Amino acid sequence: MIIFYNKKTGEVVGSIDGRVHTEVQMKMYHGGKENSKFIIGWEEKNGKKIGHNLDKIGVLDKIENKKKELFNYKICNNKIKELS
Amino acid sequence: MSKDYGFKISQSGQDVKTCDDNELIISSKYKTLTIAASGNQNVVIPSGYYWEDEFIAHGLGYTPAVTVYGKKSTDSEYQIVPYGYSSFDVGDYFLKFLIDGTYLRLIVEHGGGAGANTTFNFKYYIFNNQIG
Repeated sequence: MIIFYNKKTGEVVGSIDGRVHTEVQMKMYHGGKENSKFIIGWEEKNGKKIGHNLDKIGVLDKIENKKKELFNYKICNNKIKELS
Repeated sequence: MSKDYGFKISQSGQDVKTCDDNELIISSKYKTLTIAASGNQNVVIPSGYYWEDEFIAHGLGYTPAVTVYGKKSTDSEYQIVPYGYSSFDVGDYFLKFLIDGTYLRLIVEHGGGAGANTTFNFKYYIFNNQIG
C-alpha cells in the first residue's frame, strides 16, 4: 500500500491499494507538494521486488481485513502510528 | 493448420467445452476491464466553501476508464459518484469527478457553501482501458 499523508500534520489523506506495486503505481501521486508517501510492501523495478517497511505488514492486514480504517493512522517522522 | 486459443471458465454445472458463451463466467474472447490502480482519497470541504477538490496524478499518459465511489466520512455506505448528498443537518452536497490524460480530479460541491468542515471519502478504480 502506498499511503499519502500531509507532511505538516501527518494526517493520512489517501492511498493506493495493494502489496506489490507496478511502475505506473509508483509514479502516481495524490495531491501536491504538501503531501509525502509512505510505502508498505514491495515495488517492482526492473524485474526485481524492492521491499519497503515490511515490518509494518501487520498494518495492512488490519486495513485490508477492515479491522482498522486507513484514516485511523498518522505518519510522523517516517513512522506510522495508530490513532487511539 | 491454425488452432484456436484462449481460455474460458464455465458456470457451475456447464461443460466448458460445449456450453454456450452465455453460460460462461469469463472468456478471453471478450475484452475486459483490467485495473491499473485502486485507492482512497479524502476531500475536506471547509466551512463556507462552495467546492473543494483533490487531484490524483495517474501517470498513464492517456484518459483511462475509471469508477469512483464516495461517502461522507461518518457514513458507512459508499455510493457511486456522481451523486447528490442530502441531509437535514449538513445541507446538500454533490460529489463528482473529472478524468483526463494526467489527473483524476475528485470534487465536492455545496450550493450554498458548506456549513462546517466536512470530510468525504472517495474510493477509485483506474483501469488500463483507454477512453480517450
